[in-house]
Amino acid sequence: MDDKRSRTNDENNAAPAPTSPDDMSSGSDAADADTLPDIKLPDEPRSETDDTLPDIPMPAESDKAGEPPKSGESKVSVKPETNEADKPPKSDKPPKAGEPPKSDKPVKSDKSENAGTSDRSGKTDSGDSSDKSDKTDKSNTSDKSGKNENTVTSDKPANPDKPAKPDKPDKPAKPDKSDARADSSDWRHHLPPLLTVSPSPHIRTEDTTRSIMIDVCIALMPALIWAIFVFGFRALTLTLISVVFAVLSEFAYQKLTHRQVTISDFSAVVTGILLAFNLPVALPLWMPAIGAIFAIIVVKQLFGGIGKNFVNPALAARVFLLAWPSHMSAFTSPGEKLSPIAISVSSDAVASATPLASLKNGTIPKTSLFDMIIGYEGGCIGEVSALLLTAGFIYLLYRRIVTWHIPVAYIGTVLALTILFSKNSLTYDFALGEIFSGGLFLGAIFMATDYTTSPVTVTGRLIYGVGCGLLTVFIRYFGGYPEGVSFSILIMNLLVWYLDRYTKPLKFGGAANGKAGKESDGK
Amino acid sequence: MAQTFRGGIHIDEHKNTRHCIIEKLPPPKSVAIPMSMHIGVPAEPIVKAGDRVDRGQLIARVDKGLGIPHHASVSGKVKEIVEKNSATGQKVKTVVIENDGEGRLSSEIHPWEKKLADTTTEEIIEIVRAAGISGMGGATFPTYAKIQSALGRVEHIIVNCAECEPYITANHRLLLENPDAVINGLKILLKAFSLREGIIAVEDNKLDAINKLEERLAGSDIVKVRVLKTKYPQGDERQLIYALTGRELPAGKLPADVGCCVFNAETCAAIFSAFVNGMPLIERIVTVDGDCIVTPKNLLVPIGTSYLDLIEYCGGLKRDVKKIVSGGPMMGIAQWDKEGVVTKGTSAILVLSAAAENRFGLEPNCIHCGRCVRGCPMHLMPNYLAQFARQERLDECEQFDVLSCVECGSCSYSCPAHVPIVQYIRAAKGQINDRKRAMAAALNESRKQ
Repeated sequence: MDDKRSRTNDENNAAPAPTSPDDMSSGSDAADADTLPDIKLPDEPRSETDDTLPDIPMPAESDKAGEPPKSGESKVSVKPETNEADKPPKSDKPPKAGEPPKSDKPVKSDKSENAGTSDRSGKTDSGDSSDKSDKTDKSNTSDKSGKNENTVTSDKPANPDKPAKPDKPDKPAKPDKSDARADSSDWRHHLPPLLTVSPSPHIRTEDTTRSIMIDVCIALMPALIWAIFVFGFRALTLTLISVVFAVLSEFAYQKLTHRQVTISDFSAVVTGILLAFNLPVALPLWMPAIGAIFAIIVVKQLFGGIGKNFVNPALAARVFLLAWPSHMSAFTSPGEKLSPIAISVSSDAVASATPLASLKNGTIPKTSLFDMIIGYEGGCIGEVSALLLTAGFIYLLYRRIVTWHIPVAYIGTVLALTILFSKNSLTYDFALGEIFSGGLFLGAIFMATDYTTSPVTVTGRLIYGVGCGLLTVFIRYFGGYPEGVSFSILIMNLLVWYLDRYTKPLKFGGAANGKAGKESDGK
Repeated sequence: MAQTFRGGIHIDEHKNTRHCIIEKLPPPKSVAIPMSMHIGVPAEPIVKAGDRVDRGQLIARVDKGLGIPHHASVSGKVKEIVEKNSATGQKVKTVVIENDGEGRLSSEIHPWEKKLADTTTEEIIEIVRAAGISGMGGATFPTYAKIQSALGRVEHIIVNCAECEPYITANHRLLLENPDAVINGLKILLKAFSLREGIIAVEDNKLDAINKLEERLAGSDIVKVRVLKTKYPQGDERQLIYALTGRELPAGKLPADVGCCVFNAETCAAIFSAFVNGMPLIERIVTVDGDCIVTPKNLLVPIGTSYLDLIEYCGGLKRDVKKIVSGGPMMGIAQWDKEGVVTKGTSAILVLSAAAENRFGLEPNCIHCGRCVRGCPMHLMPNYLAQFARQERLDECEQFDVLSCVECGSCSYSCPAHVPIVQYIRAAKGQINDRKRAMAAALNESRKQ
């Protein structure tokens, strides 16, 4: 065989490399098109002696007699406990006592198929049933495998050079490669009795709901610290009460209704912080508590929990608290420090202190633009500093938590409308006052971008932002309240499904009524 | 200039084996060659237990219908022909050959002796068919049939070296170590299609391969290298065609419908080998990786080799295994059989622990964040598809184009709530197709009466 092949290859070599007029060849081409050049694939066996059998025992042989005896073997006493301790703690299976390979046992194919192909029941079933069947197998076979256990696993703890630490992070160069090779025959105990068969994809991003929510909390921290600076520690108290009651009410609801407790996803914490940010600092301390309970239980949990609320819970709770209008409109001047722990405080501040109230009358507020931007003004505790809220926005953009569309569309629309329809001859002062005072930045950046109550498509988000802006300006100009952000966002929340539905993207290849994008010219 | 498509995700590449030279696996003691490792009719064995076979000898044929023949990947004796369960649970005849270690090459093998310029398209198609070549990127469609059905309709032949799945570096190493095989395979295809220009498409995370190719091509007019932005799933043929030609290929249509034909790099190398050496497809490059493998490698493996042999050669396992995946982690198939074998479409074997899989066990609620929508290369809304599918609202699924989903996994990967979106979508597609079949059957029934 070899002779024949090498002869033919020589013939190929001898064939002239033509400078043919054929279109296919090009003079400088390294691999000529006309003759098939003598290029061997790396797999070409060069001689018959290449295919020798390896000296590594094959898996069909269950005895380990072929293994070169190791120095440590004689020292070993069988200690199943040692093996259990060696098992990686990260494994989601209970530590196995070094079971031998199950190649001799019939593979339970129907069981694993059930585990794998459950479609409607979600991956809980596939994950759980494979785990359950693993556990059953383990309890069944642990007694049987006693004898084998001794032979198979005696190698592992014996080796003094390689303390078995299976959960060592991957290193590009294995320092104890030789030992890994010597131990290679007993790696089979890492194989489970049943492999998990679940659908692709088999990997996931590191981001979780919890990591996203924690990022949002981080983005809100600068505004919180500023609030303490401007309004005193009462701002912190209000925030803490709001957060604690939000988390407790979610915990209580989920426990009482026998559902999975999900407070560790931090979404209740975010709701608590955002609710507090929408409240004036002079509020009695029981109000954020009932607001938080309302937000979590009524708006979020009664509708199905995270992802199912139909409006923004924090905003809905804030509007709910407007049932106590005198408390909700008692704004204080910046720098006035109220008691952090008194349940109720009285403040002798005047409601007209907020810049937004002045703007409603068409007058330019006394607060300077600079103070409005950095946030040294009256208002709700979290809404005052446009600058620090924008810093939070940049952080969220960097972490890819939100996209720019909603806040930019929202604030841009308000700016454009207040310029176009300025109530004061000093148009730009008026317009800038409108955007930097009140809750616009807080609402646009943190409330309108809430995932559940905003659209998923880009076009949808832009329309949503513009709609919020339109409604905000409308309410600010023509409504009874000086502030329109809460109501406008709540109204747009109700339209999110329709926005998603009618801005559904065109599927790939869906142009021209679903025919192929372009007819091929060669047809 | 790197080209790209809209959608898609950036994922951790885990290309741990990018510097691992392809090693030839020491021949296994036995191989088990399944008769169906391709799309189409399973082949019928023409050998029986006890027969002596040589390496490369024809052992199975398809006489009627779409299918490819299979050849012995080692020399030895046929031990038995058994029915085994495939990875998807179907019963498949399998020819088990015990390796006698001699590596005798079959006398049926001889290189193609005519010049390429004198070789007709029909001859090329017959050689490709007789060599048993099917798509080696994982699709396993019989290559000869692909060529045949696309003749006359195609302007662009594209060699897919995107290799966008994490872990896999088989094509990358092939380009670095044997670029001529890929280039020449492409030229054979160009001759078959009577075209003058072909494209080799590579992602920009393989700069060394791009440089090597350009060096080998040295400004050729026939073969061009095009660089693509690294993004998953750039290797999907729809996204590939779009990035290279701007044409959108809808789901349900073939690349030939938009004037393109896409071939995997290793398929091209196999075509070249069939010509220059006369070798049928009996071995392939497999990346063995995953966080449980002691020493990940790229291996040249005979078809029918058991996974355990591969793992053994890679130093064994170092932590508890949860899954063995054939293919990439995004679209590969989790294996149930620890003694499964490498087939013509196995580009990688990944042995993953629970930590690598990184999945919750909860029944999650979608938080409507929109990452799946942003990542979907087919521009669908996977969050709604998953919700509708979960509630079996099939009409709304169809309205939202669930049948266009290519199940690339970008949505499930990106979901922070770990909603098993692709799983729900697959269930919905299955139900919709069942429904269509039932309606068609009912219609036929009523027509008969």
